[in-house]
Parts: sequence; structure tokens; C-alpha cells
Amino acid sequence: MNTAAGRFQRLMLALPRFATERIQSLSGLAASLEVPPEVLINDLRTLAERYDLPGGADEAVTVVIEGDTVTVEANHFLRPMRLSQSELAALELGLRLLGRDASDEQTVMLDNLRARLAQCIASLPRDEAHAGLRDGALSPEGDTRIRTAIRRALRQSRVLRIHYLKSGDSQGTSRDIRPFRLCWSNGAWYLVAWCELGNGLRNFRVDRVTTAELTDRSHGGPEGLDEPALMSDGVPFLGAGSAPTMVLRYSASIARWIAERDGLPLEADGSAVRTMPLADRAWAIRHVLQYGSDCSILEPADLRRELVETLEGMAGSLS
Amino acid sequence: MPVRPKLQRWIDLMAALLDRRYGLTLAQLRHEVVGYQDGRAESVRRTFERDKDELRRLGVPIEVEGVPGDPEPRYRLTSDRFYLPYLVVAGERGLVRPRRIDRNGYRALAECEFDDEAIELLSDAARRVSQVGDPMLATHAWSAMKKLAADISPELLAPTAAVHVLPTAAAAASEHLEALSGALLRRKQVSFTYYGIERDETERRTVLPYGLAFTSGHWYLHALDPARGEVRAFRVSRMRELAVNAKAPGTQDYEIPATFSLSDRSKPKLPWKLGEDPPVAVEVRINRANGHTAAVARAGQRVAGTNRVICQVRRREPFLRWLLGLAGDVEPVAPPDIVREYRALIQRTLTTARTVT
Repeated sequence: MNTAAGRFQRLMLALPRFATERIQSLSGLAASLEVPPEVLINDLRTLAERYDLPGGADEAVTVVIEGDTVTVEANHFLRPMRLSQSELAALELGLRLLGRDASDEQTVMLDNLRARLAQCIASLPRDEAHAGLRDGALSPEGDTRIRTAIRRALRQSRVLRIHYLKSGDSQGTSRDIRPFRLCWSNGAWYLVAWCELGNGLRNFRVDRVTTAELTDRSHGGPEGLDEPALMSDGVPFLGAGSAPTMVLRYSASIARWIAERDGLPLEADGSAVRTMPLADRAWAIRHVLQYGSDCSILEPADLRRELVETLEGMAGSLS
Repeated sequence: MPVRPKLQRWIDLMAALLDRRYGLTLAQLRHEVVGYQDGRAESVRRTFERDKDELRRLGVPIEVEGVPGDPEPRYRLTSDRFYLPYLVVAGERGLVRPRRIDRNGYRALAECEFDDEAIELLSDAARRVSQVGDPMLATHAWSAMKKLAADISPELLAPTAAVHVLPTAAAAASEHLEALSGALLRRKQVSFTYYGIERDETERRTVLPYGLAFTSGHWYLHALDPARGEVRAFRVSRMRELAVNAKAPGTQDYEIPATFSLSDRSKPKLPWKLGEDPPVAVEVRINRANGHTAAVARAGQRVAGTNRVICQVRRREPFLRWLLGLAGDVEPVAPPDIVREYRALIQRTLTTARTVT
């Protein structure tokens, strides 16, 4: 942002850095502000080069640049500005996206946090214009205590004890896991963790974790974790590279939604065809069933037979 | 006017105002600020008014004292309203206070206390908002955290690592989000060409924006559509040729009714709970308890002492497909017409599955 506004905002972040040290390294300062050094040099030169200043007039800011060193006197700008309404609105939205339906304990903390933030904003005559204009949620809420426990386990590299209800499991199992990564994709949160029970890397759907308790055991982090192996088409998926595949056709009635969601091209007849990893046959059957007669299995044929058998069983159970 | 003198003028103006506790008139400012010394009085006044308005938009709380229209109002920028308070962090080891600046204007600044857990949450919130595909929001969150970093340690401000929101395939255009944000703030009408995916048609729409929500991975504009007389949600990624009403830029085109709640509208809902159709109570039986069927229990109300759940269904077809996707672990048992429709859906799906070659 090389507009006056962009430069102003950068300078208002840079100048308070000179409150304790008048002389600083340009490259270090630029790195801390996450801008290239040349951008920062340009900004500071804007203040340093005062061709319009009459002799004897005081400068609000003086800047001397020598090599990688910059010396600044900016007595009026030794503290950052208060938060702007836009900044507050961004943080508020972030808090909403972290969790809307917080537990009572968290609600108190969030309310307290919002009250503190409100003390840090600059009040302007048009303040009310921002209120309530942005909101959001990533997925229907689960248990906030579980999310908090996962967050702490990730932050502190601690082992988490969870009770997990697998897709086809009626009782669930308790297991100790080492959480490495939390990913949101297509409406659900997935926790990638080393499972000490299964002695391997697993993907846990967070909405199927029924309890989560932080243990006092630490772990060494995700050493040797193969990042690409955790994903397939941008979706958390373990072992995507080695799994067999299935080919599905979505009919023209629903294909445009699928194409939009998954970034697929439409066929000439308006349908969409997708090749997906087939690691879990039960998952594949349920995936196809949710689209009713608008989704067909093109390959493999044995999965199609399994689908027919499942549907025959369902029809028999109803009659 | 070139960028460089403007920036210098802004800095000079702020410094002059911060120096004078009781404010300055424009006539006095003309002596203090080099950029206001030359030129005709009216031209200088216009420049000053523009500077003041732009600085206010950037969060500089310049106050005007005096009666509106007063030929000599005073302009004030007080240190307590301009500078960030000193941030104190309460943790297990007590309070951590930043070093105070021993100079006029800084000594009397207030303190604001946060606990360390709240700071962690805030850093995660800033990271989360930077992952939702809106560069402007990301910039605002980033600059907020940089301000807080003046007093709070980088370790505490570091967000929880390894938390990712994966982008969806159809992302909203950042220039559309920026234009809609501006329209919302200024309450200006917007027009766009919209792809209605349900009917597979595009249509020009003119609406009054009420809010922007990031729901289940997509940005939606919630806006009053006067042609239809109701508030509707428009997925931003399906908009093209977006235009904000440029007429009467200084006035608002509409007001957002006090009864409107973006919070209610932005909650993710299951597809069968969407819409305005009156809900039908559907009773389902859970044949097998497992990870999938737990979602059914959450989506409805369990009948006490049974394996049955009552779901309030507004849209039948999505509901029946949702049940079908549970592969027989859950079945509808009442009312009879829903059971018949479910049975017919199974038959249609079976026919399709048998005929694929």
C-alpha cells in the first residue's frame, strides 16, 4: 500500500519502536513490521525530506538514515495509536469465528476481553457504523470445552486423552493422542494426530470427539510429518497417495453445486465426474448415498455392487 | 496533491494538536503547520477539512469544539484519546507492566489489563480472521496485533500453530469484499449480476446491504432486495459486475432496521433447516448409535427413554437425502407420507445404481 493512508499506517506502527531505542537497524525494523526494507526507507524518507520547511521551523519528526541504521526523534509518536474501529471489527469477527456458543466460563472471559478491547479503541463520531456489520461461523458448534482442550494441547505440545466415536462404532474408544494439526475443510474440523492406541497417524473429526482432557505429558512435535500426505485436493486425508480410487458421476441436477464446491469442470451434458481416493468403503457408500439417484459409481464395479446391496438392505428393513 | 506533502502535513497537524491540550483554531494551525501556511484561506480550509476527515477515517480522533458552523471552532487531539493505553498482562507470575514513557502526554495514560489466556485467544482470533479470504480484514487484524505488540511479548502474541482454515474452491473476489464493506459502512445501495445456482440463471440485482457474514467457508451478503421485499443472502463468489451507488456520496441511501440481526442469519444450518416453509415434525429411529447418528441426535430432540428423535424439517428432499446418507443407521418412522417418500427415494437410487454400466 503506497497510498498516503498506507504509509501513514506503517509509520504509526514504526515510530513507537523508537520510544526505547532512538537508533535502530533498518532491516531489523522492516522485518518486525513485515515489509521490505526499501518500503520502510521510502516511508521514512517521506518524513526526512522536508523541502518545504522554512528555516528555523521545528520538525515534528526527524529522521536520519545512514546505511542500515536509522535514527528517529518523534516525541509525539512514541506510543501506538489506539485501535481503530476497523481493527476492532476484525478482531471481533475473529473471536466470533473462534466460537459463537461459548460455555458460561468462556462467555465471561470473552465479554471481559471485549470490554478491555473497547477501552483501547479510538472513539470517533461515526463509531456506530461498524457495529453488527460482520459476523460468521465456520461450522455448527460442538462442545467448546473440547475445542479449548485441543487448542491448549496444540499450543503446549501436550498429549490429549480423548473419547472418540468412530463412524461405525457404537461405544467409542478412549485413546491418548499427540495433536499436530487442526484443519477446517468443507464444514468440519479435522484433528491430525499421532494415535498412541493405533500407533499411527490418524485424522479425527472434531465433532466426533465426545470428551477431551489435557494430560501432563508433553510430546516432541510432528517430526517427520509428511505434509502432502495429510491432504488430498485440499482436504485433510491420510494416505491419499497410496489409496485406490473411485470415479463418481454427479447428475446435471446437482453437478453445478459440486463443481462450484470442488472446483470441477462440467461435462457437455451438465454432469460432473470426480475421481476420489477410496480408503474407506463405508465412507464412500455414505458419500454416494447422500446424493440419492443423482450420484453414480462409475468405478470400481465391486463398490457399485456394494452400494446396491446396501440399498437392498435398507429397502428390506423399511418394508 | 502529491502523497509526500500530504503525509508530512498530517504528521505536522497531529503533532501541533497533540502539543496543545485545549486545541487550536484553524487560524492558529496555519502558524503551526507548514503545509497550511501558503495559499488562500478558503483553499487552506478545504485542504484542512480533507486532512481532518481522512485522519479520522484512519482512526485519529480529532474533535471539533464549538457550535457547528462557528467561524472559529477549535480542534483537539488529546493524548488519552489518541495513544494506546499501557497494556498490562496478568499471568500466573503476576502482572507484567510495560515500560512507561517519562514525557508529557505519556505519563498520565491509563492502563488496561488483560489476562494471558485472553491474549492467546485474541492472537488466535487475529489469525482466524486472516484465514477467511478477505485481505482487508487480514490487514486490520495484523495492524491491531502490531499495536498490541508494543507492550505484549511476541511469545504471548503468537497464535496457536498448525491451525488451518482451508480455502474453498470458489472464493469471493477481494475487490468485491472491499467494495461491499465500503458500501455497508456508508449505507450505499449496490448492484451486481448474480448467478442463481438453484435456477441456473444470472440476473441483475439491486440491493441494500445489511451485513457480511462468513458462514461455513463462504462470504454472504445479507441484503434487502426491494424487488422481492425481503432480506436475502447472496454468496459473494457468485457476484459479477458489482457497482456501488456513486450518487450522493455524502449521504446514506438507507438505514439498517434495528430488528435486523446478522448474528441470527449467519449461523450455519443443515440444508433441511433452511428456508421459510413451516417445519414438519419428523420422527426418526436410530437403529445403530455411532459417530454419524450422534449428529442426528444433536440436530433434533430425543424422545425420552427411546432411540427416537424428532426433527423439525423445513425442506423434505435435503432431509431425506441426509437420512439416506446414513445408510440405514437412521430411518424415518412418521409421518407416513415422509416414510413413503423415503422409500421411493431408496427405490430411485437403487434403480440408478443397478443401471450404471
